[in-house]
Amino acid sequence: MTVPIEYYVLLSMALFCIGLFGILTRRNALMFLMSVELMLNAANINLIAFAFYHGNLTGQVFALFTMALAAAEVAVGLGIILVLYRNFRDVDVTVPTTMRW
Amino acid sequence: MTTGPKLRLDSSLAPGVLAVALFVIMATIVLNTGFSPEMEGFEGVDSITAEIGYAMFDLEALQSTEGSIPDTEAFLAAFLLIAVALDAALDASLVLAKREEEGEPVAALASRGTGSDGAGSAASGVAGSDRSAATDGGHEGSTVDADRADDPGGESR
Repeated sequence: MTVPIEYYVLLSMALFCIGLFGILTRRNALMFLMSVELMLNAANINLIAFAFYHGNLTGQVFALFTMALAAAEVAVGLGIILVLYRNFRDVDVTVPTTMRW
Repeated sequence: MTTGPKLRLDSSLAPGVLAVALFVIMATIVLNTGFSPEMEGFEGVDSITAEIGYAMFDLEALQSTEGSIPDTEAFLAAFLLIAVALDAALDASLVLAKREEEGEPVAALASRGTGSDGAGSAASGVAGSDRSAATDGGHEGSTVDADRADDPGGESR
């Protein structure tokens, strides 16, 4: 007896929407990074759930690569936040406006 | 005065409604999709972890043995690309962490403190005498904590 695939997809959608809400409302750059991680993990849940659904390992292997990509993204993101704090004494993403259109 | 969570209805109302609406739309689509109730799963497979390793490094000869999972794609090229991407991310984070003082680049892991930091550490050294320095260097953390718990005076951190 296994959990049906719909519940996995609903869980991943809920995670994705929570991450989207965080990105739209938060102003702290660290919260931004955490919200992006939530959305990436929603994609991971989908990949692994459908790999199990189809009896194929491709999704699981690809989820591993997604995790490595998330690690790279966090490394660069934390570096950017470091520079942001050094230049503006703040991690508010609405403060730096010089690179806006 | 309460410090509990409050519902902020001013600026985050529209994004909240948008996120909930997106979830409702996607959930409606998923619940109306005819997925088969049974998951295929990995029945009769010896080791899923081993199969992941075979797929990641293109070991097709090992993949075709008994108790393996067929039709897994080969991922060696993706593995190498991710390795390069992680390396580039490490370099990028080091470049971003490097700071400049008066046009001179300072290494990211430099331990040379600024003037104010040096003064602060010197002041704490005077206040805490040389006993704290000896315990910091020689003993384990638990004994140091016990020493400090017994000591009513000393430095205030």
